[in-house]
Amino acid sequence: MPDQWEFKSHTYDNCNCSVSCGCQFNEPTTHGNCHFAYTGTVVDGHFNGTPLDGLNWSLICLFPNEIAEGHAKRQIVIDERADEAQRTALETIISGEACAPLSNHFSVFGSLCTEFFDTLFLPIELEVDLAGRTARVEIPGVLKSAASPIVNEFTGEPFDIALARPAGSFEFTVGAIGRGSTAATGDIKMAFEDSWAMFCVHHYNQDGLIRSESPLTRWIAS
Amino acid sequence: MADQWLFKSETYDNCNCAVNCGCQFNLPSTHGYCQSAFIGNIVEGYFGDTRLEGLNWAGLYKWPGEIADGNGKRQIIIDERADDAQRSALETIISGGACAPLSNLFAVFASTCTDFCDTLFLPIELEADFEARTASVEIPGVMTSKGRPLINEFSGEPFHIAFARPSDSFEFTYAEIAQGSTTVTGDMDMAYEDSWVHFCVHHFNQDGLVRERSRLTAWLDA
Repeated sequence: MPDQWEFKSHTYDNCNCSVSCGCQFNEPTTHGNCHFAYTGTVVDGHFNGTPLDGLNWSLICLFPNEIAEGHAKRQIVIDERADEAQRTALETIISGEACAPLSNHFSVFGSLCTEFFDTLFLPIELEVDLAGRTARVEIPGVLKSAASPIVNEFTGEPFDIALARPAGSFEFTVGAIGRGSTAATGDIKMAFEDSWAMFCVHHYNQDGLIRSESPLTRWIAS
Repeated sequence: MADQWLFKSETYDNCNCAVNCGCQFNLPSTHGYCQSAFIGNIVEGYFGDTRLEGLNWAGLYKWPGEIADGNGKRQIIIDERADDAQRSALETIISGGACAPLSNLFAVFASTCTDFCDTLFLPIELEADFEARTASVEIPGVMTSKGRPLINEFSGEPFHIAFARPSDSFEFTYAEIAQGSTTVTGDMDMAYEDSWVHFCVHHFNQDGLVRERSRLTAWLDA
């Protein structure tokens, strides 16, 4: 029987695009290339019965041009608290394996990478508030990132906007938008400031995206 | 007593920005200026004792630079089927009058316009399918516009994305994104192709935005 798994993560992503990131709309990137760092915490998950709850993960990629043109570098970082079975399980999922082809964003990104650095096992500090659009990440020697809401230029107040995908997404149902800054200093080196940040629930299984209620969808349905 | 009114319109908008229109994110417009045509059908509405259901309307705007920089030009078009009281009511609301300051889109836009063309009373043909994200508009002698879904460049299928505003919007709580082309002749002469379209419910009263769940979010319950 093929692997049976579920991965539900509260995830913070910061890329180098402006906060209207073209990739979300089938438009070009802001700068003609894509650098991003995803960091998440698994809130509910297993891989063939191996529990994954409570573990953190990070995915760092650098695309020299548009994402669809490929030739990207990838490095995965897995929570050092994970045991051997958990490390294998998370590396498999985040590599985009053990799933229907291109059925989640890990698989899509994996298909576009040509340079794969060794997976790291490190402490991953992550504080994330999906609806509040704040995050702070620290992976010693590898990644520092922080995010806050967009600020309304007219009122000075936090500006609250989210993208919703009624159908067709391989990544999320609702993604809240903020802005963030990242410095990556591991095998992949990159830095960007005050650019696209997204907060979402990555909810997948071996077949693809699972639509479920989240802190980000509740207000819409009320 | 101040005027009591309700304006609930299913509205199609086509502007000249790319489909990741910066204005939605507190970013600059795509081309450094904004041209926009809103056309709606009132599904529920009144102004005092005057009923407004079933009437169509259009608001045409041109700004020479960013919207916030002002100096905009506006023309309102009202369904010729409206009687005198309805014409006066709709012109008041769409002019951004009789409401808390800057509490809805019409009031915000009016505050950035300096050139107000005479309001026209004409037949307004509007066919809009919010689910399919298609629209067809014809106002004889003034404008034609067509809206259609975005197309996923990889699959060739319609691409489904929407904006959600959990708080603070002066326009909508939820809007579907698409693409469209518009040609306007007359006082507001302008034309653009394959650019930003949104479909939303404009739901306002004298105090501001009425935050009622949009029927466009039914997919969340599926």
